Amino acid sequence: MKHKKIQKKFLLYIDGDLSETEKLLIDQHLDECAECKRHFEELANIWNEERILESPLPSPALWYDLKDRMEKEAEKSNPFRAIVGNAKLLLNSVITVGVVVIAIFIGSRFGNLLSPQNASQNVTYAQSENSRDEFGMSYFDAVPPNSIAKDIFITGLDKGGIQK
Amino acid sequence: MEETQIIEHLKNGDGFIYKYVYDQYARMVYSVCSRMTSSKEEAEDAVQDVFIRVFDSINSFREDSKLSTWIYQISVNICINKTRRKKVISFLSLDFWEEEKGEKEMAVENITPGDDLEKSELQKIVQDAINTLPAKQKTAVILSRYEELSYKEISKIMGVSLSSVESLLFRAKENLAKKLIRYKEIFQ
Ligand SMILES: [Zn+2]
Repeated sequence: MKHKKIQKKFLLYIDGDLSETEKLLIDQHLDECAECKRHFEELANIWNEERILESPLPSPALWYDLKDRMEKEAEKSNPFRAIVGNAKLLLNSVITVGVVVIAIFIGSRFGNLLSPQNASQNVTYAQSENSRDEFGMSYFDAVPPNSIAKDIFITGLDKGGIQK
Repeated sequence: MEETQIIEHLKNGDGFIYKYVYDQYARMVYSVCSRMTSSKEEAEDAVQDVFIRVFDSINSFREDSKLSTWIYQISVNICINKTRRKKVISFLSLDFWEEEKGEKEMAVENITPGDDLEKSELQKIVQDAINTLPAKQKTAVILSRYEELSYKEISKIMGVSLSSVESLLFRAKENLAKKLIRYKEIFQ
């Protein structure tokens, strides 16, 4: 146990962090204990030699990586650049909306689907007398005199059609 | 260029100053980041984060310390956060236990029984031991041992008292002595 306690202080001893009294205690132990002395010498060797080894250096390309990243981050944070960057997307959206609007216009213009005037006419076609003429139905209304078909027409069709 | 001029150019966002600041401080920042992270890629990523933070937040620099102290502070914070995040991610991804085991085996494997250790082996042994320390002890050791900063400067960078720095370094060196002796013992 005593050895472990002494060994724990070795790096502090080597770096000159101990008081004179503490140093003396360790010196005394090292004179008597061969194993601790061996550990001390090995540790001093590793600790002192490693410290003076050169610090690692950054690779020369690192500045260019950083520059590249700075430019990208500047783009992200600049709203004008962001808009320019997204111009393609914006243009696509405008084209899509334009095509849809034109398609609706053409559809409503030539299909007569959305005009309220035409919509009411549809109802008229189905109900008015004129519609019968328009589709050539008035021909069938002209029932010959004394025809038995007259009774059938009177009962089968509305009055407007027959009286003509 | 005077430090006050550098700061002024940074605050003005003058284009030429970024390369200048990088050239002045890249070695220092990389030295800290490479020791505080565990791979070259991670270190280079951290260096980029540090400079972007320096350039972006220069207006929050109060100028009550040296610019280098502030840059050290940013470097340390970014590296600690990166390491912490990596630990959480690896823990969540269940590779954690495998990796922990692997790291220990790797560290032991790389110590050769002979007396003549290669430079890189020597660095690896000490770095591996430092990497196992708690974050604050590790930071204090790196700033003191490799950056050769005074206790006062370390206390400013870490935001702790002078006596805390002394205590962190004391405990760190005790821990490192135990670890390094144990590593050597395995092969003798
Ligand atoms: Zn002993």
